[in-house]
Order: sequence, then C-alpha cells, then structure tokens
Amino acid sequence: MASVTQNPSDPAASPDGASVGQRDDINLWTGFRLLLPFARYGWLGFVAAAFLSALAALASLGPFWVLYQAVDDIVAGEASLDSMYRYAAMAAIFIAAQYLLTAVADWTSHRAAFAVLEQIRLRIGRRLGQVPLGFLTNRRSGEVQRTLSDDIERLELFLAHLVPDVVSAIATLVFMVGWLFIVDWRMALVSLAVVFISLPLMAIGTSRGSGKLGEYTRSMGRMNASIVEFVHAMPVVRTFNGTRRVFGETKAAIDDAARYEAQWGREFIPLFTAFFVLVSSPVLTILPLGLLLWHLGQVDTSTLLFFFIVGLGFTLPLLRLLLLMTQLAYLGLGARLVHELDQAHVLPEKSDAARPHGAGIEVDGVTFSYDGDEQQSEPVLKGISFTAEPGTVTAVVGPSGAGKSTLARLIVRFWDVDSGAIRLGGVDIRDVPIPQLMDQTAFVFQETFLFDETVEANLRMAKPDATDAEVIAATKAARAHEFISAMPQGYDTPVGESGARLSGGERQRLAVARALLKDAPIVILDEATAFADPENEVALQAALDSLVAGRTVIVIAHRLSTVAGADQILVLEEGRIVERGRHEELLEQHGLYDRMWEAFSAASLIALSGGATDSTEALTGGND
Amino acid sequence: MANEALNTSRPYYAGALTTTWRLMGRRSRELKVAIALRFLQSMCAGIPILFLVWIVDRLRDQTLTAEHAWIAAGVTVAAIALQFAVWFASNRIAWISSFFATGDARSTTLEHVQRLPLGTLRSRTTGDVTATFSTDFEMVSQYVSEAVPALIGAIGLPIFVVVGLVFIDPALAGAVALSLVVAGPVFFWVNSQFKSLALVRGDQVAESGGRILEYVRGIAVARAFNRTDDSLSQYSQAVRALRNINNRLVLRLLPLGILTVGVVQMGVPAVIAFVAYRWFGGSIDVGTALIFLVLILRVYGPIVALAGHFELLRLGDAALERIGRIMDLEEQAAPETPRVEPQGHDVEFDSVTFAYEDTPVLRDVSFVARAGSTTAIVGPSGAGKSTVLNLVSRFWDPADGAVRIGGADVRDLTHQQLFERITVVFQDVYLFRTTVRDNIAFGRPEATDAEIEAAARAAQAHEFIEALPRGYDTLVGEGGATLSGGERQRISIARAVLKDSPIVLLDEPTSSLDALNDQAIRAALVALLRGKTVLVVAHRLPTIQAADHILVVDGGRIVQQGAHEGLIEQTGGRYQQLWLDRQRASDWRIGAASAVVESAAEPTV
Repeated sequence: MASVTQNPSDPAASPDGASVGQRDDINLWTGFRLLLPFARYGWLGFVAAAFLSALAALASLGPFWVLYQAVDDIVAGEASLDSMYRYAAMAAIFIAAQYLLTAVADWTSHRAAFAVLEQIRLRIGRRLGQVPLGFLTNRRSGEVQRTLSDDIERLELFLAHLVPDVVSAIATLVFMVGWLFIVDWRMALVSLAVVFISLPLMAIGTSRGSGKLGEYTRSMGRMNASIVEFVHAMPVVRTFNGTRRVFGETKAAIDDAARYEAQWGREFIPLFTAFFVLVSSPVLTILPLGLLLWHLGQVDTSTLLFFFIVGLGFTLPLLRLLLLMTQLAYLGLGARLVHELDQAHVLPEKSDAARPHGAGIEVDGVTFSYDGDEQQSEPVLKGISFTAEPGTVTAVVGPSGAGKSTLARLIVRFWDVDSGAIRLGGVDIRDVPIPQLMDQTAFVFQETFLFDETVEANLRMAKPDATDAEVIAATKAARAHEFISAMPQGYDTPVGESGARLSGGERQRLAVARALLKDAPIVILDEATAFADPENEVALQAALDSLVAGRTVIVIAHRLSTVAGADQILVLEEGRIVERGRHEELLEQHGLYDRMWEAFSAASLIALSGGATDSTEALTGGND
Repeated sequence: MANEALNTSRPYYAGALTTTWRLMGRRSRELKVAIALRFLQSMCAGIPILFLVWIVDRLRDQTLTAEHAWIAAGVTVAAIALQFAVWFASNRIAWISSFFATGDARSTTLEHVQRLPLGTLRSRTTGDVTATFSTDFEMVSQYVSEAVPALIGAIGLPIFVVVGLVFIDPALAGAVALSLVVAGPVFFWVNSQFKSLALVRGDQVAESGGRILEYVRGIAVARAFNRTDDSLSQYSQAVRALRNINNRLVLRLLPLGILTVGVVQMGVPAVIAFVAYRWFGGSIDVGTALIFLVLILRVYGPIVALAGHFELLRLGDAALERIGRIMDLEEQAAPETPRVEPQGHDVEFDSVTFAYEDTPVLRDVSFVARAGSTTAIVGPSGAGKSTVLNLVSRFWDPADGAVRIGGADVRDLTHQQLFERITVVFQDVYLFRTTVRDNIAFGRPEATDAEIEAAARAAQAHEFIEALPRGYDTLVGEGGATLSGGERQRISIARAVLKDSPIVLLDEPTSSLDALNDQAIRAALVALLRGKTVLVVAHRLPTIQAADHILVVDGGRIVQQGAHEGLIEQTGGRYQQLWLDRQRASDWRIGAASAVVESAAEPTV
C-alpha cells in the first residue's frame, strides 16, 4: 500500500481498462459473478438455508405420501381407524416439520443476505474514501446514493429469498419426479408428457411474440420519453400556450404503446395460455394413459392410485420456478456500482513523502483529460504552467468551459494530472500524503455541504480540538457569529439535512468559518459567491476577506471586478492559458481579457427594463 | 368524464379493489367478465378431478370397465379443451382491456397533471411523477391483467370443490372448509402485523439509511478536512446498525409469514382424521371417504401456491396508492372558454395574501404595475419576491385577495388568454428535442422564417445558430448539437421574443455566466423587454435604478414603494440600506485587503 506502482496516467491505460467501456451492460451472469465474492460473508448461512430448504421440500411430500397410503389402504380394503388416525398424525407432523424447516431456512438465508449486503455497503463506503474526489461529481453521487438505498434494498429482498425459494422449488421438483420414476418409470413418463409438450409451446410463443415485443418495447420507450419531456417542459408548454398540442403528441405516444402492447398480447396469449393449461393439467395424460396401462395389466391399482394423488401435484413447483425466474433480473442491482468503483482509479499514495516547504504553488506543464470518466477524451487542460507565490492572489478567468474549475480541483487532487506536475512548496502533490495535502489547502466552492448535525459540529470537523474561543473567533471573522447566535439554540442548532435550514449565503459563511478554523495556508475559491443572495453578499465578501488575508489564493470568478486586484490573472481559453498578468497589463494587451472586461463593464450597466432606457442613460445615473 | 378526479373530493385511492375499478374506468366491465371467466376456468379444472374420484371409486368396488376409461378420457380431454377456451378468453379480455385501460389511465392522469398549478408540479421532484408514469402504471397493468385473475383463479377450484362436497356430506365439507375459514382472519391479522412491522422497520431503516446517505453526500468535505476515518467509521456503524435492525425484525416477520399457509395445510390431517372418524362411525360410506381424501390436496394446493402472488398484489396496491397521491393533488381551475376580456395590461395586486404549506409568504400585498412600465421588486432573500411573479403566472393562486390583469382576475381568464398576455423568463432553460427553428417557433407555430430569424437576431442568437452544422434546422439536445448554457438561454429568449406578449415576468439573472455570455444575454433580454410591461425581480443596480416603480419587499410585505429618486432619499429606510449594500458588494475586490473592508465598515452616503 505504501509504495507507488508507477501507473501515472489515466485509468483506461490500466490493465483492467478493457472492461471500463462496458459499464452499461452488466447482465445476469456478470451480476452473479460480481456478487459471488461477497457470498463468502454468508456462505454458511446460504448453505444451511439450502440444506434446510431441501429438507423442507422433502417434508412437503409427506402429505402426498400419507394420502396415497390412506387411499391405497382403503382400495385394498386394509384400512383401520387406528391406521387412519396414525396417517392424520403423520401428515400433521410432516406439515409442521415443513413449515418449521422453511422458517429456519428463511431466517438463516435472511441473516446471510444481511451480512452480504453489509459487506457490499462497507466495500462501497471504503472505496468511496479512496477514489479520486473527481469521481463523485453530482450526477455520480446521486447514482451512488440511489444504489446504496433503493437498489441494495431490492437486492436484499431477492438475496434473502433466492436460495430457499429456488432450492425448495428445484428440490421439490427433483424429489417428486424421482419418486415418480422410482414407483413406475412408464407412468412417470406419462406424467411428464405435459411438460414435454408445453415447453416447446412456450418457446414458440416467445419467439413468435419477440418481433412484436420489440415494437412494443420501443413504443414504450417513446412513450416514457414523451411523458418525461411533457412533465419537464410543462412550465414552458403552458406559458407558451402549447398544452393542447404537446398533450396531443404525448397522448398519441401513450395510445401507440397500448396498441403495440395489445398486438404483442394477441400473438402471445394463445400459446401462453396453452402452456399454462397444459402445465397445470398433468391429469390430461395421467388419467387416460394410466387407465390404458392399467387395463393392459402393465400397472397395478396401487401404482395407478399413486399417480392419481402424487403425480397430479408435480407441476406446482415448476410453475413456482417460472415465477422466480422473472425476478432474477434483480441480481444485477448494486453489482454495477461495486464493479464501477472497483474499476475506478485509486489515487496512488506515498506515505514516506517529503513535507512541502512553504505555500507556493507551481503548476508545471499540466495536461489533463477526463478519459474513461466522462464523455470527452479531448484534454480539458493543455500544457498549463504558472506559479502562485506564497501569500498572493491568482485569479483564473475565461469563458465557460475553458477548464477553470478543473484546474482548481487538480490542485487538491480531485484527479491526478495526465502529464506535467503540480508542486506545493516545491514538492509534487502526488508525493504528499493526502491528509497532509488536505491540511495545506482549504476550498470553498459554489455550493457547500453541511452535515445534518449542529452548527458547532460542522465547524469543529475542521479542528476537533479547537477551543470555544477559536470557534467564535472564526465565525466572527466569517461574519457568521451574528446569525448563528440569533438561531434558537445558537451553536447547538441543527442545520438540517444538507444545511437546509440556512440560506445559501449563510451556508457559505459557515464554510468560510470552517476553512478559517482549519487555517490552511492555501485557499481555493471557485465562484464562492455565485449562489449567495445579494443581501448576504456583503457579509460573505467580508468573510472571504478574512479567509484570504495572508494566504496563497487561487480564485475563479465570473464577475471580473472582484478579481481585478489580483496579483496575477490567468486567462484560460479552451484549456490553455492565453494571457496572463495584472489587470492593467492585460487591458493593454487588447486581447481576450480586454474584450471580457469590456463586455463585463457594458453588461453591468445594462438595465433590464421595458422603457427605452439605453445603457448610457443607466451609466449616467449609475455610480456616483 | 376526464374531470372525474376534479369533481370528487374523496381521495382517489380507496383500497385496492375500488381503486382498480376506478382506474379501469369504462373497461372495468370487461375486467369483471375476464375475472368471471377465470373463475369458470378454475372450476373447469375441477371436472377431471371429479371423474378421477369416480374412477377411484370404481377401482375400489372393482367395477371399472373399458367403457368407463373411455368416458373418463373423453371427459378429461373435453374439460381441458374447455378450460383452455375459457382461460384464453379470460386472458385475452383481461390483458387487452388492461393494456388499453392503463393507457387511458395514463392519459387521464397526465391530463390531471397538466391541470395542476405549475407550483405544485415544481415542488415535487419531477422524477417521482415520471417514475409513476412508467413504473407504477406498468405494475398496475400487470396487477390487473395477471395478479387479480390469478387470485380469482386460485380460489375458483377450492370453492367449486367445497360446494360440490356439500352435496356429498355437509359435515365433512364443513371440515374441509374449516381451515380455509380460520385462515381468513389469520391472513388479515398477519397482514396488519406486517403493515405495522413494516412501519417500524421503515422508521428504523430511514434513520440509519439517512446516515448512510449522508456519508456519500459529505465525503468530499470529510476528505477535505481529513475526517474520512471518522466519517467511515460512522458509516460503518450505520451499516452495521441496519443489519442488526433487519436481523431483529426478520425474526418477528418470519413466523408470521408461514402462519397463513400453515393453517391452510393443517386442514389435511384434520380432514383425514375426520373422514376416518365418520367412516368408521358409519356416517359415510367408503366411496365418500375416498372422494374426500383424493380431493383434499386439490383444495389446498392452489391456495398455498397463491403465496407466490402476494408480492405482486402488494406491489400493485402500492403502485395504485402512488397514482392516487398524484390524482389527489388539487387541480387549478381555469375557464375553458373566455368569460371576461381584460382591458389593457395593468397588473394589479389587490390585498394579496399567500402561504406556502402554512408558511405565510405574502401578506396583504397591493400595488399596480402600469401598462408599459417597469416594476422592480427588491428585498432580502426569502422576502417573497419571486412569489409575486409566480402569482401573476398562476404558478400558485393567492389564498386571499386577487391578482388582476387589465382589471380581470387571472383566475377568470382561460390559460390561452393569460399566457397570450404574459411571458415568463425561466432561469432553467428547457429546450425541446427538435430543431432550433421549432424551438423558437414553439409559442407561434405559424411564424414565418423571417420572423423567426428576426427574433433570433434580437436575442443575439442568429449568429451562432447560423454557425451550427444545419443552421436553424439543427436538432437540439440528444443526438443534436451541444449548445452551451448561454446559447440555450438565448434560444429560449428568442422563443419569448417571437411570442411577443405585452407583459414579461423576469427574475434577473445573477452573474453565473462568463462576461461575454452575460453581456449577450442581457442584451437579448433588453430586446425582449422593450416596450413591455415588465415585472422584474431585480438584483443589479442599473436595473433597479431604471425601473419606473420599485417595490421593496421584506417579510412578505411591501415596506416601501416608489421610484429610485424618492426612495433613496428616505434615510434609514430599507431601500437605502439595500442600495448601499449592493453598491458595496459590486465594488468588492478579493484580496483588496482588510484596510478597505475596515474603512467601508461605516459607509458614508
């Protein structure tokens, strides 16, 4: 773990790279294979459950045997009251045993399933602590959450029931058929005849319906897409008076889907029904052919009775098995995420590394692409080099999509660079243990995550041993003390899920206070004020003033005026630094920055008003 | 008829069965026929069994002849053929009618959704609504076409057999029915236990489930602050807790799970014993005894097998309940045909009060936005600024008071009338998966190419549209051109420009875009607003200053209103303070050091 296997570049180049591309098609088999390793956490339980279920299956044949014996006795004229009572008692014992065994088997397999799911969740959790932070983009994080809650929940139902249900169905079927053959193989074949006829019927039905099924599935897809669009577009549709039109289109898609479904149904229903009628009617062959064989003297009365009683029930487990097959699809759930996380490139970490000297940042010829992660393979950053001296402010500006946020996140190792290096205090950040790197840096992004705990707990995570005075000093500097004190329980107030009880600006100020408490020499700000409401902005700005004082700052901002005083401004366009310098120097170059500044100045004078006010009018009234 | 849900005040979901009939609508009669047929089919399955019994009796008294065998064979084949025919008819009717009924129900529900206040729709996650349309209706379709008939099919044979047995020996028939009768209440008791345990489990699972999810949401922060170990150990604890809860609960659930079927099955030994008792007591003859013994498994078998369908029934029931939740959302009434004609385009708020889920948002708000003027709404966040706009566009309706356009209450206008007059500029842009042209012309499908192009030019969009591979015919979205956020926004503005309605509602964009895009969008918006009656939630100084009328909203009330010149004079007023704050915020420069901040701490006007 300590040593670095020198695997510098992207995950796609790793030995496992081949499977990265096929993340979408985890089929039944792959799902099974992926989950199999986890089975060892519950294998004892599953094996026990299988064994107990098989025993239960055996016990479930008991009542059949008892009834057969009773009938046989009666027909042979050998029945007595005592023997009949004995049969009743035996049936009761068999049934009690069957359900007792089933319950214990279920209990065992549930426990085993819970153990397996615990391990899957733990594995996902541990891996999440190791994958590059960049893995957890918003979309991905939503997916992970969904898997951890819904998917695994459904997998749980399935895993807990799979072993006992399947084993009991198969065992019952095997025991019964075996028993039939032991008693009389000819009659056994007669009984099985319905299955031999009906299975091909099902196959024909499925293949005949498959063409229609494709059409139906496609029309379902169109319908769902159309409904999603209808619901999402509702505000636009209604305010543009397009409701009737768009509703008409969606309704047509719905009707289409129903029509195709009906077409498929009409093809499928006859054979489907025939299959079920046959499978549930072994009497069709047993009664006439049995009588024939009996007549020909091939089977005796007792055997015939046996097939009348036991033979008639052997297809029930088969039907149950068919029902279970449809649930097998759940197997893939959860597996996909485990698989993907396993595939994710883990940041190699050195433990025997050098300490950074000072808080200077040096970005040296950095190229980076989201290969294997997001859709694009074109590098997002190309040959970026710059130095941020300790205690200075470096601003990164440029059009949307130029790579500004990526650059900021690379400095805190959300991902590793493809080539080049980022050095902190002269040391490559890949040589700095991650905890140390995190100690050196604080970042405040557009949106802040707060834990569903108290204000104080959220603050103290930055420095668990902080004194109360330190905490208050930080919140005061972050202009947060006042609103915190005004809350019902002050610092002990819970912030609600994801900080829902606070406004955007308040959350950001808590984030700044947290960063202040951490007291890292390097601060990275990415549009930290973007989501703050204007009324909170002054306070947030004051908070940021406290945070950046005396630190090395990398700041990304669209509002150019906020970074005009930076020691160095880097202008990014399409992944390259196209200009750099101080505000005044850049204006003189009459390049992209100059144009952006012009646009910014002009835009900030445009009044959104229905009157004939043009910008010059606003200008004269504006800033005096 | 489509308005059924609108007119009923009782909840849509009223138990599985009632709701199923309601959802099936006019096709519920077909479903009833299908169910009756399925019942018939299940009874047909009993015919060969009866002949089987007859044969067994012949075997016993050794009177079985070849003729008997032929009769039995013929009857069996005929009964199964009949069974097939009836089952086929039942399936055919149930499936096809449920497919079409589900489709109709989808449309009805969609129509209902379409009549909801936009605010209601926005406050729910659209994912929930769309998931109901795909998954829940699918589930209901399966429930109606398969699970319900299967349920009926499973009880048909037992009922048939028991009724038949009554004629043979009522006392014994009673014994056969006894375990079924006992199983009924047991089933309902078990079900209620299940439900309450599920609630308990839901609460406990939600607790640890919440902590598990929080780990994922907070992992970036935890790592940034070197708290991964702590966080992971809390996560692991939650995961472990979840396992323990499940282990505990399953111990209580499992005995319940087998109770019902166990009770049913126990009928077998009971009947054997009772048959023996009656037979040897001389109350029944040996033939009757045989009949009961052979039939007993046929009675209980289907009922025990039914257990496999319970899951589907439960899922179907839950799906019906979720559909009910959507159908129970209150529709927004609007006249279908014009009743009043607004005079002019004044927008008037007359003592408007509005609360969102019991939280008062606006209190007694009154103002008039004159036609052709610009009204800026300013105030701290959460003051209710956007709600003012949302009440004009009927995202919500006021609890008290009225919003009028040209003197007419917006609630008295048809949607057509209302939205001919107002345009709402949304922050989140929605583009349809069609061409750029169709997107722009969405509000006016009959617009000429020249008009579309003019609108695009005004919205600063013509240039980049021309540069797209197929110009105005380029497809937008999946499989089409990838447009930047700024470009998408400009196309949506072009759409609004082309619509050219006299009133525009706008929440001024804050600077979340780069300067070049920001400028283009502001220029586009200026073109849209020119000459219009504008209500704008204003964030930037020039917009506020240029407004003809400014409403200062705080705590849901209008605390000041007037023009900038007058308001700024009112020393110590809310407006003056806001104005100074904004000015200060817009002058801020990062790292301009504490000196500046200190001196600005006491601003001088």
